[in-house]
Amino acid sequence: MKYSEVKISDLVDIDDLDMMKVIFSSGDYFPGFYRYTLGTQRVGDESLSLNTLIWMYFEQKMTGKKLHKEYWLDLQHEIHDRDVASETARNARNFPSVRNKFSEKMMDWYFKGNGFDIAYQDIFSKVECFERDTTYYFMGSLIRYQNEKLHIGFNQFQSSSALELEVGFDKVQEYLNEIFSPKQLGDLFLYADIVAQLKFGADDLGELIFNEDTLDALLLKNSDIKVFGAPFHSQNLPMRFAKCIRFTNFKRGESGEFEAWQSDQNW
Amino acid sequence: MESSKLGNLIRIGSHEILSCTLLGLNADHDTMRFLDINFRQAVEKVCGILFYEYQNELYYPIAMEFRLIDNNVLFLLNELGIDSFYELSQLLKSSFKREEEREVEFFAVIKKLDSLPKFSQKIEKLHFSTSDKVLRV
Repeated sequence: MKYSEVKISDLVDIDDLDMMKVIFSSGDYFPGFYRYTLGTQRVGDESLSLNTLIWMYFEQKMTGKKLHKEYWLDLQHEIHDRDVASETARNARNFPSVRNKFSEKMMDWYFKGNGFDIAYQDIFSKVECFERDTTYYFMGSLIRYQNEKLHIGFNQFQSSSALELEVGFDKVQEYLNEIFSPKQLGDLFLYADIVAQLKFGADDLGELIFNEDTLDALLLKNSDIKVFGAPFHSQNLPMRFAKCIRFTNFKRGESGEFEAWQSDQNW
Repeated sequence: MESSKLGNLIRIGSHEILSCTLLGLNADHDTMRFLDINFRQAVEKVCGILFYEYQNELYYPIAMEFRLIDNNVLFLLNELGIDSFYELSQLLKSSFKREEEREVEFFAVIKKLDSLPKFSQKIEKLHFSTSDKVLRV
């Protein structure tokens, strides 16, 4: 076992360069409690893909059709019930009152908000090096180096971030190469970006919003890339995609309209 | 191996992935002791959570939100609305018990500061009870 000592005063006085190093030092194959990664959950056809999301946006533009919040979050409800609510009921000796409360608060967190930022996470394209002007998913955060700053909790859709660090790009690359092997870099970083918003009005119907300038490039990506949500109200969280809210997948039914994807498989 | 004044909070010159757990404070009331180990191999029975206090408001260091993977404090407090340290520690204890099959006790370190701490987020609401283990420094 290794031990180390750190003065609180040194942590209080931490500068931008060391803050960058602490953040990247958190890279770990174990995501941590109350965080999830693509490595810790199976994400299959039941989960909404980027390609389908874009086509639903096109349909919304053409027909004005919007789907109810319950449809969008049906899959998330299933996952919540399996991972949180049912687990609490099964394991009644493990702090049942606090876990019940957690289960209720967790459901409120993802269900009672008025919408989501939606990000894709690309597990099909291996990251080989950290580049400028490219957004990466890393330990639940979207991270991007842009305009001579490292942006943590980056939101391309709103050109905002939870934290900006003034540190040279060469320092970032140098440090990443120092602490991560090429395999670790490829495992711990994913290409990702916030590409859309899903806004719910008083009627709980979801309106999809895209930046149309990005659509052509997004349509060229692998059609199996999945998308995940983070509630609007979580935008100050530096790791706001650690929870990976999942959306129900849809497919075109016999009528030609999108219907919720159905499967006999458990997810 | 070279080391930094921030200990293993900053990894240096190695591809070895180690997580950090706050074990306690030294007698100087300023030096934190960390266990640095692969999370799955950790055996410690205590786990500390550092808060800053400035003008009677609590702040949580973003460095710890990233580097201490055994809590995710900002999410649990500011997003889910857990508002007592007792509930926070019960919840984290239940996670250790469920995921790692370990009994772990949580304690808080509250460092009073004279200026607004940078790289930290204000905790919206958190109260402590007399039974909570709290080190105020």
